[in-house]
Amino acid sequence: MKAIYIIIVFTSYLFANSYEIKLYETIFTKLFNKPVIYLFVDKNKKEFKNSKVLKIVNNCKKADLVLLYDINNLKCKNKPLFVTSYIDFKNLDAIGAFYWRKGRPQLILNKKIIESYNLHLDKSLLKYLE
Amino acid sequence: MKIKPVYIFNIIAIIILIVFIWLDYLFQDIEKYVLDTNYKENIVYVKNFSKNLSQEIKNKIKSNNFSNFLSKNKDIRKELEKDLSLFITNRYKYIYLVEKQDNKFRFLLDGSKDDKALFLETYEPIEIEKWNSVYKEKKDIYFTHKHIQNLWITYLKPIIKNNKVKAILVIDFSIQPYVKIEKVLKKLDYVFKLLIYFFIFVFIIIVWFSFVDLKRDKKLFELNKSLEKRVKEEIKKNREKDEQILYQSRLAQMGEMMSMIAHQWRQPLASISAIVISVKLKSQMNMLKQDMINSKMDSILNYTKHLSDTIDDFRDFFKPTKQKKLVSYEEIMDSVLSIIGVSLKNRNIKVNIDIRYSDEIFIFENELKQVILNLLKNSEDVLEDKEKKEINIRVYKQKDEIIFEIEDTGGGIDDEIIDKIFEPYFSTKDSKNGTGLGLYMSKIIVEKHLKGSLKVYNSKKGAVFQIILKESNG
Repeated sequence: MKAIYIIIVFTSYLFANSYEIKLYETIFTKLFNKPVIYLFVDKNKKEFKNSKVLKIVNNCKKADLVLLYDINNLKCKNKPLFVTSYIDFKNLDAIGAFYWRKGRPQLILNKKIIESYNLHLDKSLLKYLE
Repeated sequence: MKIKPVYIFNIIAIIILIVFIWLDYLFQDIEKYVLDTNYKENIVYVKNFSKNLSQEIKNKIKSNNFSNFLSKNKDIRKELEKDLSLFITNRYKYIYLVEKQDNKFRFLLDGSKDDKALFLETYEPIEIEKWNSVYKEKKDIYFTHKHIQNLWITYLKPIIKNNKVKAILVIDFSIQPYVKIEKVLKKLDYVFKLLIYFFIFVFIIIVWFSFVDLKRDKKLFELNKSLEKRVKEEIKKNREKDEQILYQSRLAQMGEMMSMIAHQWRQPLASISAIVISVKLKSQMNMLKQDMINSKMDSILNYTKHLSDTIDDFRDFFKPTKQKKLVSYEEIMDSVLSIIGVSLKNRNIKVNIDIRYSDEIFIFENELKQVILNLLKNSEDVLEDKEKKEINIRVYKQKDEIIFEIEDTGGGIDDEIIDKIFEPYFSTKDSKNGTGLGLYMSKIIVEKHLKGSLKVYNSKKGAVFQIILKESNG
């Protein structure tokens, strides 16, 4: 019974994350307007392992984009930054954020920062601008 | 009247079916009541406290521009958030106030401690059209979230000031316990329905079996009826056959009787003939005297009387007795030998009689005599061409049975046919002398009329026929 429970939890966790990765893939490919994006992630690197679009790099200098789960891990300040909380989004000059609020997924983008990195702002993303 | 188990099962199945249908009806009623009550009560409770909260918000925000007022009055904001947090429990998880600005929703107040939104934080609700409709309709709404299996309800209450929706008070509350109850009730309902279908199925099967049983019964009834008819027909045929056999047997008896009468008459007729010749001779010689004529006439009269008596004896002998009579075996043998004795003597057959049972027996006399006579006649026929011609008659008692035995010196009956000799139309004699009915009729008479048995076996000398009667007959 315990084994079954673990499998169920693990599978749902995997699927939940796979949806999140899919979302990142969609947003980032639209922003960078290219099929493969080199990404630096401070955590959960394994979750991106199966992605054909998001290629994880160990050095943030080689990355197109930095995805931060923890603000303390911020190293490459000149790279476009994507965060996972609204506070981080407000406090740092992040191009966007994806987080959960009141059980609902939230996506928010900063037009000014996006434009400062000369990234492509697709029409479908306009409704997520703050 | 015997009730068949299949009918009992039928009745039980119908009762169970009715009970389950009734239980299901009752259960659906209860299910509807439980769900409606719980769900409605919950909504009513949320509506009530949201009404109070709404009033509190309106009272404290003394401006038409809520965001502007709250950004300037942080204390009131904190106060109101504290008010909201008072209603937060495990069930009422999120209580917050949002405002629509430039087609975007932003948080104004958030009563949560965990997952707390910032003031004026943008917010993208799921099913946003429903949120927009609150602004349009100015009416509160509530809806469940399908993507989380309807475990949560979002209640949206518009805060209306000057007939305009200024903000929406949002309460996210869990209905998980009710959903669980609903699920359990639905499962139970499903089980009930399943049971009903099962019992309908069982009922159909039982009805089918009953139908098959009924059909089988009908067939059996028809079979019985036809069997009964066939049995009656067979009985009728047998009766006709028996009558035919009886008729043939009587004819045969008559033939035998004629033969025996002829034997009996031969001697007196010869004597009469001799007297007549003697009288005729004396008359021709003129030696006939009156006293001699008288004497000869008396002799002739005696002989004719004897002839007449013989006829009477035979007639009485073959007449069936209507009532049982007490008679001894000695008397029976005397009577039988008076009929067949002359014939046996003429054929040089020695008859040895050894009667060791002297009591009288209560029996249909003539029937027993006929059987004995028939057996003796058979022995007589068998001994015709034999050198040693003897018939041994023994009567003795064995346990509670009286055994009458006739043994001849004819060499016995062939083992191959000994089992068939009592069958009708079975005869070893030629067609002139044998009908094959004598032993068959004898066996029937002994078994049916005398309530005894007729058996046969071979001794060293010849065939032995036994008439076995119960002593209680005596």
